[in-house]
Amino acid sequence: MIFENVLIPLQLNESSARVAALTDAIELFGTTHAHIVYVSADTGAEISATRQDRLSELSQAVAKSGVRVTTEVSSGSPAVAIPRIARERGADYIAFSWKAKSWVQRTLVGSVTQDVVRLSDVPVFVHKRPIIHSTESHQGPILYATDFHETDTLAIPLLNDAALGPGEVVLLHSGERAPDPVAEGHRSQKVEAELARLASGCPNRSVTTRSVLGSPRRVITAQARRLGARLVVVGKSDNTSRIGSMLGSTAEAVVNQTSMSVLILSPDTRVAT
Amino acid sequence: MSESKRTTGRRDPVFIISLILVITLVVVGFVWPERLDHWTRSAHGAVIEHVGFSYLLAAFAFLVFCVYMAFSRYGTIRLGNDEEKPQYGYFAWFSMLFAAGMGIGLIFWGVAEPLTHLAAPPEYLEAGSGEAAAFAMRQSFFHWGIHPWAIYLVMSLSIAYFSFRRGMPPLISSCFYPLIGDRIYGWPGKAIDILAVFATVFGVATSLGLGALQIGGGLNAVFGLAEGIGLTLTIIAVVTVLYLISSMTGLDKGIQILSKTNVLVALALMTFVLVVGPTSYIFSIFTDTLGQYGTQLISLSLASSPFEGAAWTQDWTIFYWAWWISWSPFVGLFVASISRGRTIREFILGALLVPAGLTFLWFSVFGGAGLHLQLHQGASVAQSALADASGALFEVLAAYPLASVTSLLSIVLLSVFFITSADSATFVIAMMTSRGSFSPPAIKKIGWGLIQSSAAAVLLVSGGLEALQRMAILAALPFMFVMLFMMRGLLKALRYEFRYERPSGLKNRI
Repeated sequence: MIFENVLIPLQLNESSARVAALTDAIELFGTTHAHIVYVSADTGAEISATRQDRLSELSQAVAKSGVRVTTEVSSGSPAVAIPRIARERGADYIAFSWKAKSWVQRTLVGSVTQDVVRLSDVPVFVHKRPIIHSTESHQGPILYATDFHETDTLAIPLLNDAALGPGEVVLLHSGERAPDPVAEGHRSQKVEAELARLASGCPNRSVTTRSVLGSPRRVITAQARRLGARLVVVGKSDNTSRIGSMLGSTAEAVVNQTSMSVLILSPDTRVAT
Repeated sequence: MSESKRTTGRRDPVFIISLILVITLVVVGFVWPERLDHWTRSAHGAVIEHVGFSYLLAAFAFLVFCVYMAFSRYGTIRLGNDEEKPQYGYFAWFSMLFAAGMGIGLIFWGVAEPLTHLAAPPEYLEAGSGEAAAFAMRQSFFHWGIHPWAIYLVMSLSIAYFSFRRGMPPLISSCFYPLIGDRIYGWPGKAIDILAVFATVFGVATSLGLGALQIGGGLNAVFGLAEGIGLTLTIIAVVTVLYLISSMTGLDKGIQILSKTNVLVALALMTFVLVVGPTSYIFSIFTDTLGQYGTQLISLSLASSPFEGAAWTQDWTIFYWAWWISWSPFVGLFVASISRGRTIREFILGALLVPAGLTFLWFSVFGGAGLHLQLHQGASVAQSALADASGALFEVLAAYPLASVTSLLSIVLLSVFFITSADSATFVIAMMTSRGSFSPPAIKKIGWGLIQSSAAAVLLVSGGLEALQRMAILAALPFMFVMLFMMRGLLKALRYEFRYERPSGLKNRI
């Protein structure tokens, strides 16, 4: 499996229910090993007994699902330490339980999740809502926003996996209109062909494709909302201008602006064979 | 709808609606000149007073945009295919740029503007003082310097890029493809093109009317011909015949030859006045004003004068900015049509700096000669210019040797600039109403030529010419927004080209 090993950073103020919900979600990705990390801002790897107890308690909540659990306490800046530990421990992805923050809070205080999304070169899963709603018969689609880049090789097998539950997969491409009608005709044809190629890689699923003009960050969030997507999968693009970088990447915007769980794939992700 | 159908179909709503609109307004101006005058005066006054500051902001934004485009990576893009060579040589290109963009206005205001500012500066300056003289020259440089060209360039750069590089028809609506896609073929696109035709026809008609008055003034000064409506109408008729003949010969012959000849004549006249006039005084004015202009460029650009001199700023700077913006569809389209094959950097730097440099020299020479007469030789040319701007040039020339020759030369210069402006305007209007064809039908060129001359003549007789000018200027308000969106469209297109169509771009992305 591609997502066997997960790194779960905890702040130790998460409720057990939130951690359990996160555990339910990572199981869908076929995860068998969870490495739980607590990064303390204090120097030294020692933490108080209370915190140690809380870490053990939350680790047990994850282990209940049958996933093998290891724990680690580290120190330093969480945004820097988490991606580093993920690389060192060979994690296939990092999973966060989302705690909503307002725009003002994000701007003034910052968000570890947002920083990790920006800095990490391994995939990041941000859990907001359950991917499969056990109480609802109709499951919303999984939305994959593609720019036809390297992340497709990682995304398509995942989308095709039945473990993610029943329902439709929507392949979405959003891009700028070409400067003239002829170039736009070529662009549009190429997009349709690429979407059809990707759709053929998901034979186990009902797949629909959409090509929408506009800024990816706006289009992805609007489409996710409109379709009632239960999971948004988005590739982390290195195709961001300098001004765009200041405003944050598309992936960061999608994480902040959607109410669904989001999986961010990175072009640097190694693909398991 | 296929591209060929779009360009060759017979019924073009832009042509039909523009024609109806123009004829209707000319009739209104002829039948009810007072009403039209009242209505346009109120609307024009309200716009200038309440949103005038936005013209300053927009013109400054256009200038910043041009500088950015010239020095950014986009400066290397050629307005045509990558291997294409410029269609016209530098001299022909600069001559045509100058003739279309400034020409007749510069002859009209070269002497009159500095003298008028000297005689009637804002209330915080003493009329006729040294401070007022420095102010007069600085403002003349500012009004005729790089800002008008930045306004024109936003328009012409967009049109040139979308037509020569992207293969679209040379219409203003084409520049909106990256923003509104195929809706450019619908009413949003048509409305933009109709507005452009409207602003151009009325702008040119008023320019023709005012130009004819000045030629009449010149003929009166040289030959003693009695000024009056008969003389003015005769001038319009003669010039119309001449520019229609010129327009039939096309860009490669008529306008190019006339423009080159005229720039040579203008340079000769300027050199003559420089030599026989107060040479070192003129150079001193040039140097001093250039320094002031350069150091105060940003503060001048945004000087809306809310505390003192507000009325003066509205009457002059904001009026000019609105005039340049309303004139920009015509000059923009014309400049685009003669700039094929140049890179964006060459196009912007050439069109921004060379005509502006020549304009600074012109103002220094003619304005300087006028100021010298007023301030050091006891002449009262400033008050005369204030009373009748069209006669100021001839009055100054009269103070120097060979006045009858130089005045005659000025009349020729005025007439030829008149012809080239009207000729290029006819070409541009015919092009805009022929779905952007670079070879518009001769009948359309003749038709529009006759309409704009008739409009000028009819409204000169009825007294509705100024109302028409105010209507052309009113068109500047929507056009300002059109141009702001054009910048956005062009940036989007260039970014797309660099990202997805260049070898160094992200070719595997869409």
